[in-house]
Amino acid sequence: MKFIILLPLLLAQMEPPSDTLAPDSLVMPMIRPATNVVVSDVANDEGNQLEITWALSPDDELIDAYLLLRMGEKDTVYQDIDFLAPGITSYTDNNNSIDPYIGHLETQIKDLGRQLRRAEKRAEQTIADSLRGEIAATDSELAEIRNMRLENRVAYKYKVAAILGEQRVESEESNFAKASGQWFDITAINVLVAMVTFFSLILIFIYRARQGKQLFLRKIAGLEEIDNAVGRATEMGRPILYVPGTSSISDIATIASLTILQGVAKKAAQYDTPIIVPNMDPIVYSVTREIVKEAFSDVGRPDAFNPDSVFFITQNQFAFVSAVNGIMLREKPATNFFLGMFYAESLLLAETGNIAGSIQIAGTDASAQLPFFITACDHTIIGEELYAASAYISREPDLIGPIKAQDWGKAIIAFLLVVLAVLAGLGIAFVDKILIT
Amino acid sequence: MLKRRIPLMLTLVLGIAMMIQFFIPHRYSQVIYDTSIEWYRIAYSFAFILGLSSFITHHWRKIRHKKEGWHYSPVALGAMIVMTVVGLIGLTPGMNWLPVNWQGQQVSVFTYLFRNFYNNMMVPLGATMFSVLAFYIASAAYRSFRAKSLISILLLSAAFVVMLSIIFYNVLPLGDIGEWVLSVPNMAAKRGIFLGASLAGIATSLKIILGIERGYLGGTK
Repeated sequence: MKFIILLPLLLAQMEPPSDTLAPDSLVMPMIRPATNVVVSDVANDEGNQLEITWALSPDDELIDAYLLLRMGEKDTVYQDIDFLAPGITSYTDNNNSIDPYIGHLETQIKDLGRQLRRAEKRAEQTIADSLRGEIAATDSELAEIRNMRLENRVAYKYKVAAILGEQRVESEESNFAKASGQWFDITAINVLVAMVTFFSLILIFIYRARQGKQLFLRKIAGLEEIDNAVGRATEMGRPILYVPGTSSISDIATIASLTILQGVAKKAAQYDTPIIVPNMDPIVYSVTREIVKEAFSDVGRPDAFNPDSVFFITQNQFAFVSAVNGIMLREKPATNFFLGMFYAESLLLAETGNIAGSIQIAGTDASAQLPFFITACDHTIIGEELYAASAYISREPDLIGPIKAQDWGKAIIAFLLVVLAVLAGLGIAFVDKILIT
Repeated sequence: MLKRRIPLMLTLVLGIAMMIQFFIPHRYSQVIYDTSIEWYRIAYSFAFILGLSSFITHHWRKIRHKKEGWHYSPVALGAMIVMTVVGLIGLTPGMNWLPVNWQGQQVSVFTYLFRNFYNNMMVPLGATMFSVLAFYIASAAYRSFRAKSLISILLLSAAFVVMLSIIFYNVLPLGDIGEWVLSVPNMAAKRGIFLGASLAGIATSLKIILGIERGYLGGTK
């Protein structure tokens, strides 16, 4: 009887208890670790970066993830750095995700500090105490996060752990490596060589031009027509409209346009022809205003400068277009100049000018806008011709020299392209890396 | 004299410094680059004040002297003042003055007005201007596609081939000829222009850095 009562208890003890069962671990195979973990400094960088590579675990197809671990020379334990998907064999460790968070915590501490001062001023003790607690917690979190930064000139070693369920199999330790920033980007050596060659050519041709060597410049129809266009406006007694592009001053096409504006403004000042210069960029506006003002001073007519002729409209692309189109239709300028960098507004401006019956000279190096200008304008200055304008107009040796250097530069590039294409066709391996930075 | 010499010296020193900076990946070099970008932003914000004053004085003079089209100027000035006021108040974080219900949210009437003016006036006006481009493209294409010379005949033929191969893709037996026209002869011309313009841009930059090109300063003297 006693046995019958105890039987269920005995049976229950013979079965393993259900909460100790770990079915996954029983069926999961044992996985093997990643191997050959190697760490090295990232070349040609600003520092604070290490590159870690490893050979995949033989069980890569089975594992859930890899966990990258790092330990500094003065640390005693490994830190978890990142979880990585199976199949990955390299990782660049840096502070890219940590630094913004550090910045966020620093701002948070500053904000909390401000709130604390306010609470102390109002004698709100409970709020102040709570804020002090928050500041202390954020401070300690900040210290912890800062401790995770990868520092330059500190040696680090790494391990890669393969993870499957509860299993975590760590690789052997890597070598130690220190991160450091470089003082020269070796991958940009081809850029340096090209730059030195091209700059040398420019200086040689400037020197030759100064020595009195005659350098030939081909006729550029668009630039030849500038004088005629200004003359037409003078004869008709109608203004000149000059749009210096819709880009910023940091665009080199804008600067090229400004050098042409100087010549156009001087001619307009000489002939007492009104000139209208609407601007889309405030910095370009302040420069164009000075250029036109100085042009009037240069020809001895500072009083003739109308400060209302150079103005800023808006930075909104289509609002600018509608304003300039309105000016074209109301003022009916005899000549329109659209020189500089243009985007989708190019045809809107040029077609309206065409409708208004103006002679139009356009120039840009934006190849997507060139067809629109060629179609809708009387003369188009294409690409590099825009940059040659100041030399073409002034004929100064210092300015003509670099144009010759450009021709030589193009010849060298064409020659290199042919030679490298032939070498690449012959299967020579390094060729494709020569022109890449 | 100094008015011109100081900017030229600054251009020379900073131009060469930024050229050297390009080749130095070190952190210090990056800090210098980032700082220069910040300086540009600061200078830009000052220039924006100049731009704003130009806008106000330009339109004010138009109204005062009753110049042609002066009646647009009060609209421009009024729009600027209204948008500035509602924008400055309405976009202040945590602003909840005169709350109204907008898209299921309680927002300040200033926020509501700013978003409404922008979404329902600025955006459609801009889109209208942009859509005019479609008609202008048609009229410009009509003018340029008149077969007056050998070159315009070539242009016309190329355009027809490209258009037909796109419109009647898989209908006409044109194969990839349209794609070929775009990616081979067209691309070759574009790259040629790009290459020439890039070299010219570099040469202009050097001329500016060395103080040879001074036109942008308002005179060659």
